[in-house]
Amino acid sequence: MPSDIGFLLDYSSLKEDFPLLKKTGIVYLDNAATTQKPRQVIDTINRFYTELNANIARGLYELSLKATKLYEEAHEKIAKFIGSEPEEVIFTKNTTDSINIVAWLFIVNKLVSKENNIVVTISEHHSNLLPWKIVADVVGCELRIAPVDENGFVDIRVMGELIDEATAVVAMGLASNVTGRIQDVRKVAKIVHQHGGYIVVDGAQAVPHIPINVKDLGIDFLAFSGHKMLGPTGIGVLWAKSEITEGLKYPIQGGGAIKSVKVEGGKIVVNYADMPWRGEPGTPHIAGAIGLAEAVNYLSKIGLENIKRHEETLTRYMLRRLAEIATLEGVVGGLSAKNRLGIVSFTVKKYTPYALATKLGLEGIAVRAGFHCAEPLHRYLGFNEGSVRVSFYLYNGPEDVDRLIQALEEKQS
Amino acid sequence: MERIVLDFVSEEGESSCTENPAIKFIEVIQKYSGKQSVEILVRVKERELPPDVVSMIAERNGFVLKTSKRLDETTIEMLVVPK
Repeated sequence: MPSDIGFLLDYSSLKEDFPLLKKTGIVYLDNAATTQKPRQVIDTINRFYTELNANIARGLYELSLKATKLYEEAHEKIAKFIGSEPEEVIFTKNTTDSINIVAWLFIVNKLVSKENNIVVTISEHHSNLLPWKIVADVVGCELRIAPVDENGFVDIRVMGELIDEATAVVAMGLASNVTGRIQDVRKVAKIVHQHGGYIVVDGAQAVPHIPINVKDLGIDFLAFSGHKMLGPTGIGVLWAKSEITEGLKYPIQGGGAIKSVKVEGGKIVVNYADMPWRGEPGTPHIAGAIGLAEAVNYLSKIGLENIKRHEETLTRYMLRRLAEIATLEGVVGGLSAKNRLGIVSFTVKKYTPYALATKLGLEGIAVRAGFHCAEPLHRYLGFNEGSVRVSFYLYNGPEDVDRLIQALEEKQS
Repeated sequence: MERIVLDFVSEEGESSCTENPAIKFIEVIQKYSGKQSVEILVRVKERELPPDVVSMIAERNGFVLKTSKRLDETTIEMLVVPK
């Protein structure tokens, strides 16, 4: 490992916070799929269930009041983390759930009709592609697919040609889960707003790794997952701009989302609660939300800008080392580190992605193989067998890259 | 000795997440892990499940790669037997 490869966090100390990493000694490079959990998050969830567990809202006893306060504070912490207001933060199951909710929000509120079109990009995760196919199928409108260049960047000029007065919504990822490329969502938001449409952003990969401010981005909806940012599974976030959701019918209905329900003249008359409660019917994942808030505390203490710089260093180092591998076949999105999260997906000549990932797994190196739920992108860029994906987080260091490269070199000999 | 045959070559279609040779082989060998009366014959494209990967998986499940025979330029046949 070279002595100075750029800015790095004190990742060795940070690793001490992660019991699983300490216990197993695994080289964990599958952070785009899910991240490991620090003891701070684990302890918070444990404490909730052992000391504070009660349902939120209308319980007028101490436990319920405390649980309610923590749950409300979770909204506030997440809101601050992405530069929004607490009432705009709706807890969901995950990114997929969040995007599906927005998609059905468009159908239920007739924000899209057969005269409209929907624009997505070829680089979308299936979770930001298939919900919009369903919307297009249900209302009978056109689904337009924007291409990317060989490096995985969406061409803003082409995007501008696809978006027109009939565009109801543009759905795109802030960063690809395959190439790691960070897209210029801000520019796309301007274009779609000039034409009167909305923009829905999949932030599953970007939100855990780079500073995000929804107002600065100028977007309308943002979806992300707790488990990809040190939080528990089963908790996600849908950020929805309050000016848009005001007065809209939420596609999922139930208890907790209303102020009153009356039957008047044989009809059900509903007085809905304010946001975010209107968007969170049923008992929510309380422990998950509180755990995610603790994860946000943890990330905020380190600083997203520092995490970003740390991962940029690792990515540059990884790409440089990967280029030295004799039988490297290809890197999805190329070898440039420009505007890229800590994600590198590649193939080698001698092994299929599954075979390579299997062997790496047997050697204690956790990576992911396949299409990573982005099959259209892989095929579009000519990676018909998928790829092996390496993805970093704050607890990874250059020696993890070295271990991986060493294993790859051994395999090719 | 019971012989389990995993023939990934004659089957039509592409590998998917669930039907991938490496995943299927691990699934099968784990099922028979510790049994002395079973051998596994694997026919597969070498890139999809190379002998070194088969050997590692076998070792960890109480088996050993006994023979490896090339069927053509891309295809290989391997016999995995109990240790």
